[in-house]
Amino acid sequence: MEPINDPDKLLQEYRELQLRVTRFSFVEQQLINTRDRLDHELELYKRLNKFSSLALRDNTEEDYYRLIVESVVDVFEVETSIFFVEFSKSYSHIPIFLTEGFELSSEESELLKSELKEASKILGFNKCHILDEKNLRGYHVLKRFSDALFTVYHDADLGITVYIAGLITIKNAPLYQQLQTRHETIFSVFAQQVQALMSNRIKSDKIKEQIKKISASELELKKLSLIATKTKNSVIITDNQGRIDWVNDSFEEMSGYILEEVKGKKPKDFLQRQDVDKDVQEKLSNALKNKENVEVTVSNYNKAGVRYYNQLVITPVFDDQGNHINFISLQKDITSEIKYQKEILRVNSRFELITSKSQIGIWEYDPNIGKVIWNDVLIEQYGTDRNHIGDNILDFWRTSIHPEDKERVTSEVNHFMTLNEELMEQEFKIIRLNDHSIRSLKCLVVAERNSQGQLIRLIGTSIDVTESKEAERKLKASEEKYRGIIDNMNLGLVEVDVKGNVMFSNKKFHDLTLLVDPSPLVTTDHIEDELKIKVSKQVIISYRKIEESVFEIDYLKSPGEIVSLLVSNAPVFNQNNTITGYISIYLDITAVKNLQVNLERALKERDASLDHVNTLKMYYENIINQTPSEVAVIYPDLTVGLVNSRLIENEKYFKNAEGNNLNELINKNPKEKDRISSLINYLNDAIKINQLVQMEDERLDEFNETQFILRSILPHCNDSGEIEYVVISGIDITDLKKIQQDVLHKNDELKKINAELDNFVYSVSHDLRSPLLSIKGILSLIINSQEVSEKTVDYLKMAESTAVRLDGSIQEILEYSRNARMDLKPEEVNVSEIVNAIYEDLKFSAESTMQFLADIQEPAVIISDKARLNALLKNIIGNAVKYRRTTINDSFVKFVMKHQRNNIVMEVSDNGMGIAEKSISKIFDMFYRGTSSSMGTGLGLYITKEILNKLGGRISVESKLNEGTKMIITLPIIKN
Amino acid sequence: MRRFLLVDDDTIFNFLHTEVIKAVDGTAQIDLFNSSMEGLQFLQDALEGKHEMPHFLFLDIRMPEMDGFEYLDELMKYPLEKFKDLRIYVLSSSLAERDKEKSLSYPIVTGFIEKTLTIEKLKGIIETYPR
Repeated sequence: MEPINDPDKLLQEYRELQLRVTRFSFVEQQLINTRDRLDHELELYKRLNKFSSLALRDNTEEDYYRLIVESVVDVFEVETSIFFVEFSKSYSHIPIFLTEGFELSSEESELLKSELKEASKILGFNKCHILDEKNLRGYHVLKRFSDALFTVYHDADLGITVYIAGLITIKNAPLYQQLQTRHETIFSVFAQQVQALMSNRIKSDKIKEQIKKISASELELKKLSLIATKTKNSVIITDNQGRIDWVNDSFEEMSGYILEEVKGKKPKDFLQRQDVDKDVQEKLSNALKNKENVEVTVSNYNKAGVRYYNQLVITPVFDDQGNHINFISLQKDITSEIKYQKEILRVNSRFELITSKSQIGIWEYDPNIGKVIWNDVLIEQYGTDRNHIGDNILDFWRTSIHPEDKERVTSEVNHFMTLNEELMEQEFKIIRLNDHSIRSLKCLVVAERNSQGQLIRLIGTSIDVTESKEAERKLKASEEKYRGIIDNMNLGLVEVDVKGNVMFSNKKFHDLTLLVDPSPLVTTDHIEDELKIKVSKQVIISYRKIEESVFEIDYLKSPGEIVSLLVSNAPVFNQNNTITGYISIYLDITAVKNLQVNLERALKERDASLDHVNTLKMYYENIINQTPSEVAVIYPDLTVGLVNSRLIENEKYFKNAEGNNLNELINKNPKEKDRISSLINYLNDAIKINQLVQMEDERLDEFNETQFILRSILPHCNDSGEIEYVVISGIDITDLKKIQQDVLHKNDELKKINAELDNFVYSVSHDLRSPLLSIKGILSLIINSQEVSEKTVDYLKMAESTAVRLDGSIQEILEYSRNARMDLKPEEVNVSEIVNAIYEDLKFSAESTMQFLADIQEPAVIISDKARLNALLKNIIGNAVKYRRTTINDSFVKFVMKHQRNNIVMEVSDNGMGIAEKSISKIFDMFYRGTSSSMGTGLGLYITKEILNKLGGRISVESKLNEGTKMIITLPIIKN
Repeated sequence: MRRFLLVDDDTIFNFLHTEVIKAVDGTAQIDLFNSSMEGLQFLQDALEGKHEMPHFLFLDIRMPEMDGFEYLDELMKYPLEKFKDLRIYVLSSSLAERDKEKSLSYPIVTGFIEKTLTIEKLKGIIETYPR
């Protein structure tokens, strides 16, 4: 470095240096000040922080406010501070808070509050201000301070306005320090913190309060839900959006949905209300939107799809603050009510249908406004339509009325309206518009009046009676027709009323009575005129005799002419079943009367002839008494009618028996009890079967010999088949009886002899046959033995055949004897079996070439005497074999059986030797033998014939010598 | 060996029937009785086990002292099962249907044969008897 020589320069440099030092020290001072300030500031922040941590502790409200007030003094090193909260909803009154030592009277406190509010109006909200004496000078309380930190915060959400102020008086400030801008910054931070803390506090208070309220309302809710659960109405609770929170049991029951299924859904989304009336829908959605109560009727569908009707009441629920929380919906099942309503509607519509079908026109007239309403039927009755008549129904009606009736109808209606009557009937004609035809209408008008009797309206019905009028007219015409018939009929007819006025009489009546005008009959009690009396008398009689329904009168029709009349009366009833008159029918029976007279004459003649009959009767009675038979006539009740003298003579108990009952005779003649009882029994039998019954009666004659009487009991019937009487006639059969007994005795003897003979025949045949059979056996043994010569065999065979013939003879004699003596014994016989057995037996005695043929028409089983039939067929078939032609080798025998209507025909045909024509008539004779070479006994066909005699059959023969024979047997069919 | 019992008062028939039996069965044992009483005694002895039962009995009806039906009546006093191996045939020259009917009404009787017994008839009878 170069030394400085120049002192000025040096000085200059010195001064400059000095200046620099000065400057440095200033800067240094500045730096120190800044450091101090920052330290202070830091200190303030630290205090602030301390306040925050203190404030966050769970203090009471008062503690908290006090903390704020003290903290303002601490942090900002002011003398005193004010804290005041104003709530926009002034439901609480928090006092103003002041630092200790700063005491104010209550008036001064209120004054201070209003001064703070005033200041806030000038300074605005949410800013920090440092105020000096000038600013504070205008206030009564605040003017005692020289400086102030002031802020006002307003929180709209919380509804609070917070006033904080820190204040300094110069004279009292211990550590006076002028408030500086840095205070302002920190103050605003502090204010924000206070505000945040306040907000927290208030909010947490609110929450606490709500919690308290909720727990209180929970209890309430429990009670409510219990009620809601138990009620029969269904209850839905939704949130404020209408989504389901809860439903009760009744809802589950009514709808079929359970809570889990529907929670969070909107009821209308699943209860299918698409068919809800538009108005109802609108009303409902408006109410929900505006959170209003609403009551509607809706139709819902339950889970199963069944429709039901609900009376729906929805109530929105608000909390204490007026916030909408939820909806409660109450539903009442009114399905059955709806059904009734529908039924009423249905009945209504039916009624309308009926009135339209029944063609009853209905109208209504309101006289106050002059309005008339017609129904369709009425319009139709007048032959028009609504468009045509428009509103002027009344005018239309007046013009439609037939001119003849117009005046009357109008005046009737007007009159009716002025009267205090309820009902009026009217009938009038109209000219129908569409076809201009005249129609008759029948109207019924009802007046409806109020309590003062003023007419409110007229209601009327109208029926078109044109057709019934027409029918009435036709009825009259047909009455005319019947009138013609009634006039022309053969009966006089007159109808009178209860007073005797003639209502109606036919022509015949006039013809019969010659009464031209029957009306004089009316005056039943005051007839003076001779003619009237004469003429009317008889009819009046009929009238007076009205209670007698049928009687005869002789009526003087004209002088000298009396007619007989048969009168029949019948009362005439009206609907109420009271008699309104009588109808009398007159029949001329003069001719009948004449006949009756003739008849009476004839009867007299008959009585005369009866005398003749009595003579005859005596004659016959005489004969009956003379007859050798014992005759009695008994009536079915066993009363004795007639007994002839022969009977009384022989049977004493019949003496004086006429008119007595047979049973009485038993009592009178106890000795004859058995015989009379027996007679009664037979008599009852005869009556019962209504046929002849015979009985044998025994009695001892005077010589004590037994007499036999045959009594014939014959019931006699009248034309209608009823038994009138029974004739018993008895004849003495004692001699006959003796002969009969002789015969029976002889018959018994004969039977005995027959049996003995039978035994004899059998013994003989047996004893004869035995040795013969021995011979046959021995012969056959010898023939079959090897030791005999051929010639001897021939002899032996001849001997054998002789033995066979002898056996045949014995058998035939036996057969004959048996047939002659044995009774017929019909039974089921199988002809086929019999013929086959016979064929089997005969095959041995014929050549092997011989053919045995059978043609039996079913049924093969017939009813016959088996033994005889067997003998018969054996004989005839045997003959066919026996008399075959040995010269030919195509011999045959053929049996044919056919069923005819009453007979069975059996044919046995062969191609054998045949019978000479002259012999045919003799072959059935006893011991007749056709040829000398014949091997037979001459008994076979004789027995055959005898058998057929027993069986009731016939036999015929067709035969030609050397060609063949046909035997035709005809047997009667025997029913089993 | 077949055993035959013949009861018939007619000696010629007995002879004849013996010959017929021999002709059919040469080894047959034949017991003959002209007296029905003796014939009954023989069969009663057999029934009581004194000797062997015959296989066939040919019995005549018309016999002196005791006829065929009386003979059968005596046999009916024994239990039926005793006769299960014996065939009884009634032989008769009678043509009376009632004799045949009465014979067949006995449960122990097998058949009714019209005299005389021939070789063919006997063969037919033997054939039906189980060996």
